[in-house]
Amino acid sequence: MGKGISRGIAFLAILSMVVLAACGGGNSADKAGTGELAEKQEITLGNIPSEPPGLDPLQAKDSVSGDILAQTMVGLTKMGKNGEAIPGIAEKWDANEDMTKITFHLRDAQWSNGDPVTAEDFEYAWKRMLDPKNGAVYAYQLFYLKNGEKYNKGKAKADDVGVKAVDDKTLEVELEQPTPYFLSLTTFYSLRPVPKKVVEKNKDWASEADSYVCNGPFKVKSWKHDAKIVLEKNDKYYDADKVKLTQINLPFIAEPKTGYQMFQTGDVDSSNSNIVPTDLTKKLLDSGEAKGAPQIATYTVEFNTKKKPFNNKKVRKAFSLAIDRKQIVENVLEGGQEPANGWVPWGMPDFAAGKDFAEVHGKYIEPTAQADEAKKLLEEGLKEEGLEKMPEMTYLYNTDDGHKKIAEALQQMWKENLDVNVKLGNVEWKVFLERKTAGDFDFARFGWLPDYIDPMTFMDVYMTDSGNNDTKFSNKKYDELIKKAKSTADQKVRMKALHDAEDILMDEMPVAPLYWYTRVYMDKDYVKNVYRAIDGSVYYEEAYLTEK
Amino acid sequence: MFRYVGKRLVLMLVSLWLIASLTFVLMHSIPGDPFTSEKKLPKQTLENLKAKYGLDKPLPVQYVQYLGNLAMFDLGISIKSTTRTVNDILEEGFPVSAHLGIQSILVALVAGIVMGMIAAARQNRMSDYILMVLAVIGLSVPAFVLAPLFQKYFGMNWNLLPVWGWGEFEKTILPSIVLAFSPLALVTRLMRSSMLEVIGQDYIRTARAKGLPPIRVISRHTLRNAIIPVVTIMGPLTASILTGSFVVEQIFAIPGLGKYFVESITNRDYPVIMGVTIFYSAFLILMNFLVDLLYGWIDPRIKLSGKEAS
Repeated sequence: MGKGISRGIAFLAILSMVVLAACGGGNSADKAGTGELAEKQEITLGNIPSEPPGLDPLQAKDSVSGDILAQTMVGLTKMGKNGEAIPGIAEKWDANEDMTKITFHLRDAQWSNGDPVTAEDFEYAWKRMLDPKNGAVYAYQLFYLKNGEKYNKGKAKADDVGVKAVDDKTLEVELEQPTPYFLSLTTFYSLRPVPKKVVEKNKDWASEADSYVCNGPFKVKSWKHDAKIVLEKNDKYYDADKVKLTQINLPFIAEPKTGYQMFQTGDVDSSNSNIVPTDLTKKLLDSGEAKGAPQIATYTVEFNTKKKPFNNKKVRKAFSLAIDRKQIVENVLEGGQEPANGWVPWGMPDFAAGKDFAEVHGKYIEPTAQADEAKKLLEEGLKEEGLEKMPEMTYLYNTDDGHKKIAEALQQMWKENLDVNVKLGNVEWKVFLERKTAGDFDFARFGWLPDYIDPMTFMDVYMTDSGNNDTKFSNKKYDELIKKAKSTADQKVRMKALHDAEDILMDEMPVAPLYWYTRVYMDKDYVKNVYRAIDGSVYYEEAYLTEK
Repeated sequence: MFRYVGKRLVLMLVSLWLIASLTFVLMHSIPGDPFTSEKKLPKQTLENLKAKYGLDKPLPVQYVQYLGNLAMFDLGISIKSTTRTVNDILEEGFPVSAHLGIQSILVALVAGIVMGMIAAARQNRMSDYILMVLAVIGLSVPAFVLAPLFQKYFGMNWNLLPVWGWGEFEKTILPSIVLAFSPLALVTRLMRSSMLEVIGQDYIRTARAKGLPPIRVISRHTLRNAIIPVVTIMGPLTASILTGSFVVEQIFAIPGLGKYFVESITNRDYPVIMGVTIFYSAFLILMNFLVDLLYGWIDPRIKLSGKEAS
């Protein structure tokens, strides 16, 4: 009898699976298309891992919201190929010579509900961002506005803030000091407008599909929390003629392996690395299924310059020289990254020279280890500090497989090339951040991504009073150079000062850059014209699908 | 009986209060807060943020406020998803997790009891060994191994079932089975051992001796006595499976509650941590209570009275 039952169950289970499978979706082979525009312009993306914190520019504080806002909201400007600002809602703008006063002239544009997009909407959105009551994370992106920071601190009134709608189509902006990259900041999602009339009536306007109003190429069709967002073409968009996609599906995919399977079965057409399992990256890059592009970001080792003997620059340099960056990139990471030869990474433009900032400064760091020089420097450094031998230091990283592999490689290199034993310590992410801020570490990993497209976003990190400077590095000359670069709009003067500052930074080496990031992405062959801007944002505005 | 239920209810509330208080203290004692991030925020911005979420007040004040809101069933607003209340998250996520969980529990319970009985009835024979090996595998292979395997074979290679998402019944099949695996193994083993114990009892021999057909012996006499241990674990098992699994829901992209148990802590999303912990605890306590009531129904020897409550 027992056998009968168990067989029965097994049979039923198999039967039900077969029957259900018959109703399942079919597979689509992906061959190189015929090049003709596909009839159905509906795309599914794999780059959203989880529910975005919010689609209101005020709440957006992460790349997930950013990825969606890139399709739904347009700011004053859009980002051009080289990181320059090109017209968005603002048709044109004029600025005074030192870039402290900019007047934006808006085009005729509409919100998805039919209301016009006015200068008032921008003024309202920016002041709302700065309003201390709203506790916006990215308020500091507007501290460049005159009295912006003071208003956020409660020391100035909203009326004092340097942004004013002169009329429906003219927005006047006044800045605290010359900020040439303010234009590039206006492409950023925090500075995009909000529909004042809608927001004033309903403060939760951006949390459901029905109440969401936007001004970009796509609007929100449906939003199933924790599961999926669907965007559809926004016919009210000022450039709607260019938009070919009719629908963008954004299922939330938390597990890369699942995402990759969805890509293989044709359930996902295009994505960033969110659907690339780490252990498959090399294979997929080699086969061409995934593609890599330089990403403006640097992975580094930070030294606590208050901890003996890392207070000595020779010791810090010795540790940097003992690292074989080429090996880390080629044998540990295997994702097409570039050994860093400076702090400002590849892809970041030098606005005076018209090419990469990193190309102009030349090499600060060799890609391979310089063991002899490293040993010599360590010896000298230790002697200067009155130490016999290197005390045991702990390299701190946050718990993560990738960081762990790098830490282990570093540990081995320091052992081999410096004959120094280093302990590895790993802690949970927020504990890691707290300990770094508190200076409770010897040396630790660090990664930096730009806030805007200008080398300044990297260089001002190591100013003495910078909140992000966990190394506690302090150098008067360095600070002066950065301040000088901040005081002028003359790109030649600015870039010169920043290069000089990087010379100091790489000589003092409170931070030892390891590698520059790559951005891995996957597109099916029939997906065309996706625009991946250099700041990492991805736009499907002009993307289209060809016949499979 | 009523006195017993009343007493239990009071105890349940006290346990919940204790859990809520402990969670509150522990949660605030771990380093970091919801706003710690790699890009450090200006001091003023941080203060503004803390003021907005009431985190600028002294902890005892926050605690009292929280308990006050809790009494009104208001669990607050998620700090990460600022427009969603914790109540929303629970209302939307729980039905999904519970749906998946109920299917898994049913599979685990029915198949587990049957398989356990078969194994016991055929003790030390081939079918017993096979079932026990399967049970060991089921208990020891974690879901994060099983789920991708299922996805690969059922989804990719054989193209039988969808491997992600939520909404249609066929999407629930694979995750339900993966989720059922370990409880299924547990129930099978428990069932087998308690069956074996019961089979050796005198009253079973008596039942057999008086000529009852084997199926009646098993269904009337053996099963009812042997199922008690299974009922015991059903309480905590149901509570944990119905409130969602982080791994299974993540792999199959299911919009359930499971991820909030993990992510809320990584994000230090205080209201969500409190919300899901209290919700889960309440559910667990309730399930245990129901199980205790069930005992009395299944096995009349177990008496429920005010005195016995513990």
